[in-house]
Amino acid sequence: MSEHDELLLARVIDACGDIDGRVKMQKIVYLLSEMGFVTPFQDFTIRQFGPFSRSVAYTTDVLRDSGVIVEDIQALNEDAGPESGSQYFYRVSNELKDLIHNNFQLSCKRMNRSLEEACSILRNEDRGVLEVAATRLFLERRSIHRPDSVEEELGHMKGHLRSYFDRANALVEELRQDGWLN
Amino acid sequence: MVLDLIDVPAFQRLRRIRQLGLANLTFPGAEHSRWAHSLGVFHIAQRMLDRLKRRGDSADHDYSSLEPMRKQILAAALLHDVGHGPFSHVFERAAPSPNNPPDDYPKKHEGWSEKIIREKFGEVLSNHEVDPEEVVGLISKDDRSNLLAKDFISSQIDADRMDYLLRDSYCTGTGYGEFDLDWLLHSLRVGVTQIRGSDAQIPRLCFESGKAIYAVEEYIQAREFMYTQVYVHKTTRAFEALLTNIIRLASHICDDNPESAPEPCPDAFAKFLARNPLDVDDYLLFDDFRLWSVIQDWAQLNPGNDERLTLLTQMCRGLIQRGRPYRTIVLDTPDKTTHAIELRVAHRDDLSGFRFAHDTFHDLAYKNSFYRKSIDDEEQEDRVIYLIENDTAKPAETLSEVIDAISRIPVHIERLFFDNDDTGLVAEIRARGLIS
Repeated sequence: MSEHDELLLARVIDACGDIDGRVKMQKIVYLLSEMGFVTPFQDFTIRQFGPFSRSVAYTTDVLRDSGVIVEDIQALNEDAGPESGSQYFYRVSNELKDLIHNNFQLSCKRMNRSLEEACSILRNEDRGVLEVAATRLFLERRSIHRPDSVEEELGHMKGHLRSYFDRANALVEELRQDGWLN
Repeated sequence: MVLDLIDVPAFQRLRRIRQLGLANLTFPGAEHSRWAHSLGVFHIAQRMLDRLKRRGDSADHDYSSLEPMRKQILAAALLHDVGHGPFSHVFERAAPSPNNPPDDYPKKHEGWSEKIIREKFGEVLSNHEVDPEEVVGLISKDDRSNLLAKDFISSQIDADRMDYLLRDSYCTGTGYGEFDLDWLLHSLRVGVTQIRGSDAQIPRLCFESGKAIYAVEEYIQAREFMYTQVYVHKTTRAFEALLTNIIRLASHICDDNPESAPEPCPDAFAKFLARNPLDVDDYLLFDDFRLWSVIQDWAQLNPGNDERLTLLTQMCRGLIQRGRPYRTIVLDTPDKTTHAIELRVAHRDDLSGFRFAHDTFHDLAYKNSFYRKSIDDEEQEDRVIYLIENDTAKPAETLSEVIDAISRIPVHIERLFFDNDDTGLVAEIRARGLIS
């Protein structure tokens, strides 16, 4: 990554308003890159929850500890203690919100459409939907598998999220029809 | 096999890359090379394997699964750094992003190592009946198979870390990085572990808790101290910021016209500055010597009335002559970070933007098994250090309060470096209340 790149992640969070969770953040950044936004985060590999970028994870830590973004943590089960897991929320700090919003833009190479427009499509989707949609696109784009085997592989990898498949497929189709995806 | 690998020119290139980048401008003894470090990693990996072999097999200690991987582990130990660019990690941070790189274009030095091993060492490895892909798999951070063999090369207590802590500590003359290598190796064994949320039994490198716990604590503390006292030393980082600004400015000059790299400039370097993707042969031409030579040439330029070339020449002289480093402000509050980001925005399009740097270092000296403790646990740390207590392998942080404490506090160091001779910039920083 080069200069200012880390602040582009803050710009994505700003465009989403806030993001509930790191998995959702990872999937949104991946889908934005598939939608033609030129992000500096290109090191995506497949992990337990679909496409994952070590750079996005690292940059999130850096921005949090610098105070550029705010990480709010809520225990999923207050009674069970921290081992039960937590839900993380991310937003840009109030002090830097305007600066980030006005000075850092992610350009969309495919068409002249705004980051806000893209994020408005993605931010309200359930994490499971984004995970399935991002994994599907990753399998298709990276040509890891023959096209006719994507369904089979997706079923194998994301079978536990089958209830999200219909919405994820519809999302991918909508993005294609609207010209966001090739 | 090892001697044949050492003789490959791509390995000899590591003689010309300093292990600690520009740290020799701060620590006079830090002149050691990636070449010497690579031999050291090979040596420690060999000692680890020999120790386990001497222990032999037992019910809970299965060395036999490692023996077929011995040559691959040793080759990976030797070759793990062949992808490093000039000045080690500095070059990675300074490199301009290439335009339209192919999908498999390496993003970091590990990626270059994989590419270089395939292209330049593949034949030698094959001649010694070692599959280059197995060696690449041991180095790759994304390959999660064969964790036991990877523990030697890419874990929190691998041969790489053991060598660099001791070597860097010795060569910088700081005692912080010392730990009891002999005792750690003596207590090494293979144990069976279980990754959280899985039933799979996975053999991993472990240490006997009763013998090694204090040596492991010492080792992790050594890493923490080396981060704060050596690797992120403000003077070293200030010169690294200067070098980064030199490369950024040269690349900025090329952004206007790809043919306009400051002369003289070797072809591969001009290609790099103009953001053209490099191939392996181009990349292997980059070493400290080559970059110093370019900087020396640029320090002698006659810039005429060109403001950008004038600044480039000044900065190159500053580095070559080891002038006064950038002045430093520690950014220890979000307010100060906000000022630094505002400065970056304000000077994005002018030359003053090449006269300061907002520098951030962030890492954990030890990542525990609950690293990122949330449902978002996407990259669960599967490389924790295991200690064997009562015949059961347990993550080190569960047996040591010292290790547990270190694993909870990241090393986050943020600074603003700036050229104290830029009076306008200094006045602006003063107006923001960052200096008096």
